Amino acid sequence: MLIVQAVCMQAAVVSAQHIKPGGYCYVEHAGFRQSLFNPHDLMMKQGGMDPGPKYNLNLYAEARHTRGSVYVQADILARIRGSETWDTDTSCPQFFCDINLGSLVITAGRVIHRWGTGYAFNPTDVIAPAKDVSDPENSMKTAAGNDMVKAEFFGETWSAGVSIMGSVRTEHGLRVEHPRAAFRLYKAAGMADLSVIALIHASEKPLWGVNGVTVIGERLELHGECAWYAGSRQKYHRVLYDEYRLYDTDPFTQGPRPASIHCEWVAGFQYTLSGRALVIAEWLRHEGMSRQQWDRFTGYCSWLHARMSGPEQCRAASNLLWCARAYTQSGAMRHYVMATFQYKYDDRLHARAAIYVNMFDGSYAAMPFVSYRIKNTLSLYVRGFIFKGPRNSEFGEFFQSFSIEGGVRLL
Amino acid sequence: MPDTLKRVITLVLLLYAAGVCTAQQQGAELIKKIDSFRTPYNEFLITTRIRSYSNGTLKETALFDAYMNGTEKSLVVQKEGINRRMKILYSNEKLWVQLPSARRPIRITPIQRLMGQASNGDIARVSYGTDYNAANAGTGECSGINCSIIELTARKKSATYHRIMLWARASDLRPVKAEFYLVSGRHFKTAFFDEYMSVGGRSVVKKLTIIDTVRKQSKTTFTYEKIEPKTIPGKYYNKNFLVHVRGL
Repeated sequence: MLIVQAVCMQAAVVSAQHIKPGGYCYVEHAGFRQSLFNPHDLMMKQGGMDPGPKYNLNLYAEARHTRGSVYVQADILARIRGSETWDTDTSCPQFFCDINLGSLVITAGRVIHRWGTGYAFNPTDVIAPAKDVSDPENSMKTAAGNDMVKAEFFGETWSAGVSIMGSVRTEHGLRVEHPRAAFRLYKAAGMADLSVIALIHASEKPLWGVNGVTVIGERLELHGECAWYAGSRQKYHRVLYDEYRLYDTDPFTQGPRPASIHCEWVAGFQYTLSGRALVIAEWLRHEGMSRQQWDRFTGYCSWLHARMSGPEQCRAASNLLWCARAYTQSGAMRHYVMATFQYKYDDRLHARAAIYVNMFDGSYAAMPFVSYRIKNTLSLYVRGFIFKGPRNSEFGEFFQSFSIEGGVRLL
Repeated sequence: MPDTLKRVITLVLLLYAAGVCTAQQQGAELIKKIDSFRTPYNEFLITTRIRSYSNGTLKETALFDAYMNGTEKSLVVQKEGINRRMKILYSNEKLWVQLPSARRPIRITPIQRLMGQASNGDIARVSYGTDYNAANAGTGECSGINCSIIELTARKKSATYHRIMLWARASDLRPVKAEFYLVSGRHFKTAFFDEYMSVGGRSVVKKLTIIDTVRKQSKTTFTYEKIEPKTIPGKYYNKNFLVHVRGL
């Protein structure tokens, strides 16, 4: 299968009518701190983390070919990353074919296709990879699509689609992955756009979702998504249901499945200020640890600390490294607020500041970004991450206190 | 109430209603004439080059193809420039943008900036008739031309601007200048209809210059390079189909 895919990809690139190359290189430096998840520099000594500076070169090419009603696209990403040693990898974030049969479009392959209306979070986007909160628009081209076959029928004000997927890329593998079929019915209704979504698993109860978006007046956009399902789809650390002990295998597992309905939602808005500045804010409720579960989880991490100077220190350290997996893109707990301020000073200078706040404990991650276009598609950029919070809070105990990267980018 | 008084009140109300109807009819006729200088056909393709200047220096340029379908639908495809392949869809009062790097269209507000002093609504919508009510606001001189001054007031929440003061040549209502105002009353920007060309035997705007009221040293020009009748399939105006729109 891999060989077939590689041959097809190469053929797509070689015969492509349009190839759009791009890339960026940057230097990054991270500041680590002694924290619950990083005692005695554990992350650096055993977790493979390196404060830097690290040098990165990301190159990508998007090859597109159209023949009649068939469109093929292959994206290739090559990464070189190093400090003392150098790592390289190549990947194919997207490789798909669209067949346009009048009002019916069939898509097959690896593709990033989004159904949600949220900016940074999409609980109803059951066919798309999870977004990177620091780059929801995927401007750095790091997101990879899911493998699927999708058919969608388009009217002028409505569409109906079905998608069959073999596997889904999830956050750190903490979401349950099963073959799945997803359905979406979209309708433009008055000033709003509404979608109803259903996700059918082979061995799970279905997920239902609705999402919508509307614009009020000349400046305000409102959007929301809600997904509900019976039981849990998240994997949790076993210690939430078990006694404190040392594990020898991955302790993250799908927990007991209560019969109650679980609901994930996002509600947010975009507000345009003077045409150059934009404010986006969202409140997210997703499946994660409750405050009590987080306290039990951090209590377990403290329990592991106490064992890191004893005879079981190696097992304790590896268990603590597993615990760090709880840090997913959208967060380990349940309620978050994300606010972004974007400003385009002129056609060259763009700035963005985003903050992501855990509403349970008040800890936050701040993400400033500035880019300056030198010429045509060549620009310089700097972006940073600052993690702050009180003791035992999510971002207060994150193993990094900050990281900063600066680079040159060719779009 | 005496019968005479009732008759007088009824007469006054009838005269008032007749006056309102006449004013509305006059407004509709005014706006139809003004729009005829911007929309020569019902379904057409308009190729627009936008240039953004600062202190007289060209900062950015881009080329757009806009497919217009009546007054309620349009699809804009960027042909040249940094965001080449970006698409803007206006459909039944809703505006969407599909960035070339994204697989999902984003709902946007009409005054969000497109390029220079141009908002998305400036390129996606060329007809005032569907969004604004018109009323005569007197006469005046603009660029040495005797003009009728027409006040356009938004009658839809989706209109790009809340109010437009338009100066149109008195003889044929050909637009000369327009001032755009926001709901707050702020004078947002000013446009000058600099040049006209003949399309299908009709005079149509060829060049438009937009000047920012705050950054007065900045200006953006719209040059309509080509206008021709063109029809595209209805599904192209569905926002979910935008990712599949190719070859335009």
